[in-house]
Amino acid sequence: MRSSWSRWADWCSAEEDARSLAWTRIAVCTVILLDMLRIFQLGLVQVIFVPFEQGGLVGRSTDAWVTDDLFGPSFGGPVAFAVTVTCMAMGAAGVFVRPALVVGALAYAQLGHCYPAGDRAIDRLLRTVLLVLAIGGPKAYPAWRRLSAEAKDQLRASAWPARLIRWLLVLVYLSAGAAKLVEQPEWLFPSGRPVLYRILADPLTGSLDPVRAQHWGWLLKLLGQGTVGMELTAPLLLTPLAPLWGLGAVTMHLGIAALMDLGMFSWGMLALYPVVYVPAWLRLRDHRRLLATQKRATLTGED
Amino acid sequence: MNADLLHSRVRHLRGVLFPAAAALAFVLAAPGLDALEPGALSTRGDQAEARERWPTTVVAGATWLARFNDAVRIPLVLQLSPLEVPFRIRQNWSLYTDGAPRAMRVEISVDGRLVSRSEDPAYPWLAAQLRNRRIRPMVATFAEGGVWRRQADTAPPNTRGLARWVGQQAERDFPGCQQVVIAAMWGAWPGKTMTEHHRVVVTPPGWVP
Repeated sequence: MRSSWSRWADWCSAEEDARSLAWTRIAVCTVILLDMLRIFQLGLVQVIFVPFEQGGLVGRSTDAWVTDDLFGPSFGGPVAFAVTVTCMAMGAAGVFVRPALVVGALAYAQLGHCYPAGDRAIDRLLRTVLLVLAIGGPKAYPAWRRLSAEAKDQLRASAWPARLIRWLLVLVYLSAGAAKLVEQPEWLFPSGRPVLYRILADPLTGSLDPVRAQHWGWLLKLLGQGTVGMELTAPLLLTPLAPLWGLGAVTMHLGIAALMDLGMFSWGMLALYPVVYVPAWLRLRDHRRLLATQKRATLTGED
Repeated sequence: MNADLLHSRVRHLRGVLFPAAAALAFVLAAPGLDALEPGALSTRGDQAEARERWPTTVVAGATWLARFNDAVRIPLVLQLSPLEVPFRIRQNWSLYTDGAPRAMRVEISVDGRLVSRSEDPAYPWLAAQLRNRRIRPMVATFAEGGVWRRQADTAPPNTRGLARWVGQQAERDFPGCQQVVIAAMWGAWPGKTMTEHHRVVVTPPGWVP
């Protein structure tokens, strides 16, 4: 009889279809890459990653910003930016994946150390995921090589990175929900203007018209309560109900993307959902194939 | 070492490392505790205040958790924080806990002419840049004015950089301009009437406040 430990070790060493982690890597790297290219498009690279003394915005960097020592304060930020862009492009394309993800995460972190005010929770989360993928993600096959459907079905990877990413998602949502209740109980028990109104109608961040939106108080109260409820039930991500729960989360992130100017926040969160939806899609596909095979067998038997 | 033995050892190692990584992430993030300030609910006054908002049993549980946070979790997080620094991966996810207490907008005037106002398509100058997620926190900090007040009317470092950059952009887009005013407008929700709360004025050639 196998021991509990042996079963646990087997579970931790299990493998799964490599595509969920591959799609996560492609999505995460692409989102970061597009965020960086947007900064370049707006002409902000030489502004936000350069210290005040050298003509930029940054008044305070952290002590861990070291690229200015290596390349000088005028070039440290732009060099870290160029390295991040290159590594994310490589990560998305599947070229030298592990070194690209580690070096990319380091350079991306340097941008955060250079300009802490612009480095948000989503940046920290995506860097964490980059490291998980670098350590345990599947070996990339060349992105340009076309594999047959059968060959793709043979690609396996360790299951623990996807499980760890799902666990991170649970912690992120649970923390967000708990912090809302700790710091502002009005999320659940609104008395004045709903918190969601004050977020979505904030002219500095949101795009709802504050005058019109004040007539939608009941809806915003309900959506606020729904948001907290959804965040506090995030452990469902660890159960077979994950794809169903994820529909609410995906809807919430699309709503945030539509109603707030948070840049890549929503897209960065959605980039982690292949670990939920790719296995669900594969299960659905296999189930359909099985049904089709059974149907064919039945028809053949009838003939 | 043969392949079977190596596979067996890796299997056992994963059995240890995976739960260790998951537990580490849980301790660092600790939903609910990460939002608590050190020393939260440590005084009788704090606890009495909490009982006015929450049931007694909830406050008792929260007090125990706050003590655990101070005695165990925070020291552990401080010990582990050097590991988080190189990759800047601090595990704290207190996302959007509250909204703005009032309506606030930032207005920019060049030589007395209003050219930019937050979320107002009629005055769109630099809107894409100022609402970009990297610069927006700096704009919001300026609008809120907290840092400003603490530093006794001296523009905080990031605001000096922001004001100078806005001045330089004005010089490029409005050649010959002589003054740029960046003003934080405050008003009670829904913000139909707003008044200027504080401002920063920059002039050529340096555009530094």
